[in-house]
Amino acid sequence: MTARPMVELRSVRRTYSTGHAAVTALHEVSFTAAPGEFVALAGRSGSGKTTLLNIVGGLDRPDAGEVVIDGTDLATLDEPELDAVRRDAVAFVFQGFGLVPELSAAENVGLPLRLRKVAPSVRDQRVSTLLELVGLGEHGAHLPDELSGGQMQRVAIARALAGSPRLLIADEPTGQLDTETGLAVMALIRGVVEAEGMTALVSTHDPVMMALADRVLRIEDGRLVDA
Amino acid sequence: MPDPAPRLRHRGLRRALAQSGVLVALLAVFTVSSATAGTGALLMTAGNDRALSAAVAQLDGTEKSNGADITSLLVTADMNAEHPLTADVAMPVVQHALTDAAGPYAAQVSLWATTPMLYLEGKDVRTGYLLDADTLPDNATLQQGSWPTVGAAGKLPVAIPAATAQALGLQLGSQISLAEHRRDGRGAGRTYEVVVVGIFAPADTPAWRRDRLLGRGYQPDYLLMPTYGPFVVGTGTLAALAAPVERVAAVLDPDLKANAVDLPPLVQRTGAVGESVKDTLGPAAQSVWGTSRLGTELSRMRAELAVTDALVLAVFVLVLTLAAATAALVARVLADRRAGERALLRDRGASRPQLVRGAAVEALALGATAAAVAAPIAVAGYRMTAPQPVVTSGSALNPALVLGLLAGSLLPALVAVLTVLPEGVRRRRWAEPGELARSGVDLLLAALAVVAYVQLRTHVVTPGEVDPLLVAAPAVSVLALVALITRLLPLLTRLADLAARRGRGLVLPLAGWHLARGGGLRGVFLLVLAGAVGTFGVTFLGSWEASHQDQAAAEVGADLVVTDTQASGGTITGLTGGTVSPVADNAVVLGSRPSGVTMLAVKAAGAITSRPPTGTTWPQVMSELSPREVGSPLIVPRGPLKVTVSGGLAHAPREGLPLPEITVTPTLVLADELGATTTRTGSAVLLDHAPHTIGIPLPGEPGLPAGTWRVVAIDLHLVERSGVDLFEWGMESSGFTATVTIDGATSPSGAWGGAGDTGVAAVRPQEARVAGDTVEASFSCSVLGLSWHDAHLTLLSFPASAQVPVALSENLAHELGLTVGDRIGVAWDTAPLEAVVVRTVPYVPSHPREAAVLAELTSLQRAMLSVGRLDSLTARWWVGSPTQGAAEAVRAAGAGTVVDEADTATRYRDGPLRTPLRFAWLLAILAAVGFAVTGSAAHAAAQARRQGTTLARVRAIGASRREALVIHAVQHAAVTVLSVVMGTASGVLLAALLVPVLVVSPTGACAVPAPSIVWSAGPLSLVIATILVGGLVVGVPAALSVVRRSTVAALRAGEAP
Repeated sequence: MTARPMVELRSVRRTYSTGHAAVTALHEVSFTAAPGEFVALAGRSGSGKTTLLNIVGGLDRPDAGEVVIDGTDLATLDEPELDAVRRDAVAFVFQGFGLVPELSAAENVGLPLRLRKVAPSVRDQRVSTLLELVGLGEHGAHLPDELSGGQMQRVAIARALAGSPRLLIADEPTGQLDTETGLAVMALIRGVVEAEGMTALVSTHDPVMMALADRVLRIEDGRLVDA
Repeated sequence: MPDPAPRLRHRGLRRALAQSGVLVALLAVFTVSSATAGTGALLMTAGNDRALSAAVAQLDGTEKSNGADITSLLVTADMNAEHPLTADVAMPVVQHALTDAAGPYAAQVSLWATTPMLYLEGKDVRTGYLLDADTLPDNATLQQGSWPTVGAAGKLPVAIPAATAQALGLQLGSQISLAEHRRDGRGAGRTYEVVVVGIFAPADTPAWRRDRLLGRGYQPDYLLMPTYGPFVVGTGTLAALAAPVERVAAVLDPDLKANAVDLPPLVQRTGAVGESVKDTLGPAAQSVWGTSRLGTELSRMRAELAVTDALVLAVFVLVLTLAAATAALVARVLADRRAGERALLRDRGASRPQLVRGAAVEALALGATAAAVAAPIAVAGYRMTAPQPVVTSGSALNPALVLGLLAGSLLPALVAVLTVLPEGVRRRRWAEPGELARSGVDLLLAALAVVAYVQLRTHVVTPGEVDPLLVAAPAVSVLALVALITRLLPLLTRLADLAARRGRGLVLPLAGWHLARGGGLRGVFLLVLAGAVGTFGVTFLGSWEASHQDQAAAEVGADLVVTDTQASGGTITGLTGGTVSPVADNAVVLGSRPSGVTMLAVKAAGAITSRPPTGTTWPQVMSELSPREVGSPLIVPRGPLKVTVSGGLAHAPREGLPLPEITVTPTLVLADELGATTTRTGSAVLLDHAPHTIGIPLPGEPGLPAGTWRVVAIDLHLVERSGVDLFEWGMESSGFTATVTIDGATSPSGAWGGAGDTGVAAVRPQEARVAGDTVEASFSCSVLGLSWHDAHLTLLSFPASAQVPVALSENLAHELGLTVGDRIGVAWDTAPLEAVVVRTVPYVPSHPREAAVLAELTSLQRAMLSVGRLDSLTARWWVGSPTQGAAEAVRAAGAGTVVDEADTATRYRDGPLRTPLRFAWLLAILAAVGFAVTGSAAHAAAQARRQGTTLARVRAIGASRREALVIHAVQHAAVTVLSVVMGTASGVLLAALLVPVLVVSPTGACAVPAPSIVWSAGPLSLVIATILVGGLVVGVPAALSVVRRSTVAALRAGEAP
């Protein structure tokens, strides 16, 4: 018996309207990702990577097609149910880190736990563990602007892992990092994915990063070219 | 190549449209500020003229009503001059001089010319005088006959007072001659033969001050001779006769017609008219004495206006401060929106001066637009105070208005420019909470505020000048207090931070973190300032109005005061209802203080309606001043009374001594039900042990019921009239008895007191008792001394004592160093009394700010009777809680002059000289609310803009739309509620500190009684609730917008490096 895919997209289309013109960001995109699989999404800027990740993560809705996450068709969900998917099943790592600038590293990591109203003692323990995991055990009290780019992305990864998601979506997580740091971050993602057994969908255009993935999906002008 | 201009214009328009909300808000702030300053400028220029004119119009009165605009002139002739002053010369000179002095004002001149004293025909030496009075019918009631006209040949027709007619036995048609000289009982020199054509009763008007006998008609000892008059001739008679005049008393009654502009010259001219008349009349005029209250009134009005101006200016300074704070906040929002554009321009080479110039030009354009829009609003606002013309001349606008408009718009514009100056040009961002504190400016402001407060506590306003301390103190204080109170913010943010850390959920902690660390408190300063100004404004206005009500009540003393009256207490009670009290009021000499002390004595505490001293009531105060002993007065039946007097030497004289013949004239001192006293004197009877019965009529007969009057004292005037030499009696005292019985009188039996002359007769009361209808007394006196000088024995229905318990005004007690229990001599007229200090009071009703003494009327009357002074002390009547229309009833009945406390309070509170203050405060309160709401909206919009990305990120990790909405709403609500609470607290604190020193009298003196703070719950709640609800509501669109925009697009925008 084949395991149920963690991510399954069928003929997904997304079109943006800008004034009188319409831009199709995704054309009939279909693919699957198995549980525990590390999938890299490669493509140039504007090829539709971020749109695809947003749709997979429930941040955006397709105009057509189906998006099934862990057996749940996102199209059938209303907004609160989508919020719940983002809160419980999916985690994001953004290119710009997406940290709340007023909060310390530990507080940023604890945000998903606060959403779940986890008890403060449990939350603090989990945050501490995650910061140790990403190598920032000593930097929990630092504000984002007191951290380097690589450290901020590690915090973002720790935050993504805080809610024990089944799917990790990372949109160019190394885009603002130098190669060495980027490689370290990518290795970290690779490591935690393996350790936590989660599925990862990571967009990048760096071949070195792609080498760390189990599979690479290439997207051009909104179409998967070698899925 | 296509012209880029249209594209650029299009882009500029799109930019303006995108920022239209903020730009409109900034324009609105400038406009409100400009309109407020313009209105203020109008109020203090054209408004002042208008207020003065309106106040002058209220002066309008006549001599009959003792109007304040009356100018009087008294010319007295030199009776030894070679050429005596004659009416045909003096009267036209005075008439023309006064008419000329009136200048542009229409005026009436009234002349009363009096001849020198003339001898009346007859055996006895008696004098009288002719009076030519043009306003006699206005000041007298004709009882019989007609008013005299200018006499033809023959006898002069005259009208005389009823008292003169009665004293001389004259009636209509009676003829009598008055002559310049007297020879053998007949007239000599110029002789006036007069015939009585009218008999009148002088009205109780001030005009009779111009009469030699003050309208009494008869005085037995005027210039040591019995004098009768006036014999009033027809108007113009004396001039026609070229009769010598001894004095010409003139009154100028100008119709001021609400014109204040010509008032100062009028005051100058009336001041100089006396000198001019004296020069014209030459040596025949011995003196010319002019008096006018116009100058005093004008000075008072200017002083009141200056105080109003200072307070109005203070209000507008507060409004401008608020406007500047609002402009700073809105400008920051605009600057935030343009941050990217500014960075781009900097990157593309724009210099800082260029950016500053651009900002300045934009602010200037907005300011100029605002001034133009504000002009009609300012004029409309000014007109709301009264529909009067504003523009001074031609089509040019009032320069003060233009100046006010520009200042009002450019000041906040300047603040806005300074706020948005690029980093490096400005040194600090004052709008950041906490930075004000870190800069130390708040401490500087606090130091200034403390200095201002200390100054205000001991400050004396210079009359007629706008006091800079009154102007600046409120703004400095409110700024200092708000700056200091915002020092609490770090503490509050730490608490919020701590709570957020310990919290389990996301919504409240994230809101708390934003407040604590994310600039969520940037709008607090303005909101606190607005809340403080609103709260302080409402409280100041309420306290100011209440204090002026209190001051009016303290000035008048009672709800109604009836003066210049001959009416009895019963009549006043019947006309007014309420609690009626007789009141005595006189200048006294207290201890070593030669003058300037007034003693007020009131009978019924219920008539005192001014604010009592803190912690007590007037009835309590008066009860401490009341006599302890009830006394044993004789309650007499309906009059006339049948009084039987008997008595004589207690023991037969030594044989051979010549027998004295001592008469006694009894005088009953009667007190009515209200405690007012009067006296009635019987005829003299011989003190020969035989009973002598005489009749004594009671006052007010026959209408008053039995029991109305009580005999509180009986004075026996002792005269020895035997005419024989009583030297053999020596100076030793002899015992006497005296018994006075009043038929039908009743009394509680008991002891009476007594007082006697301590002169040569050495009258000493020994024992006195009352039983039933009879008072029996024994006394001693020197018969020989009595033969030299008559004497009095006064029998008292209470123990004799010259002590008067008094309450001293605090200023007097402080000045003389007197404390409770001290005794000090006090002379009421010449009566030597002793005041016993029972307590001090902040002020004495009807004499606030004066060195004054309060006593209870019965205590004072008893002390006066104890030193043999029988005079009635009642100077006026006070009425507490009168029935509606009581004042009109008294006036209609001609029962006296009425001072209505309500009228005084209305003048104090709502008079034209004070209208601008209330208007200015209402404007300021509205502006505070408006600025608070505008600032709140700007702050909410700025916060929404700042948090858009954060909320999008939070939504991306699973927060719901509702949670995002709540996060923003909680922040906004927390800021708003916190600000309103802090603002209200600041306003309350400010009011508690400043109201007692800023609420002053109309002329700027300390308010008496001290102002109490009135927390007007309704208006306060309304203002606070409006700021709160308005501030919350204007945050809703921003909250909805930020949540609506917390989408992928916002996320992407936030991701942009």
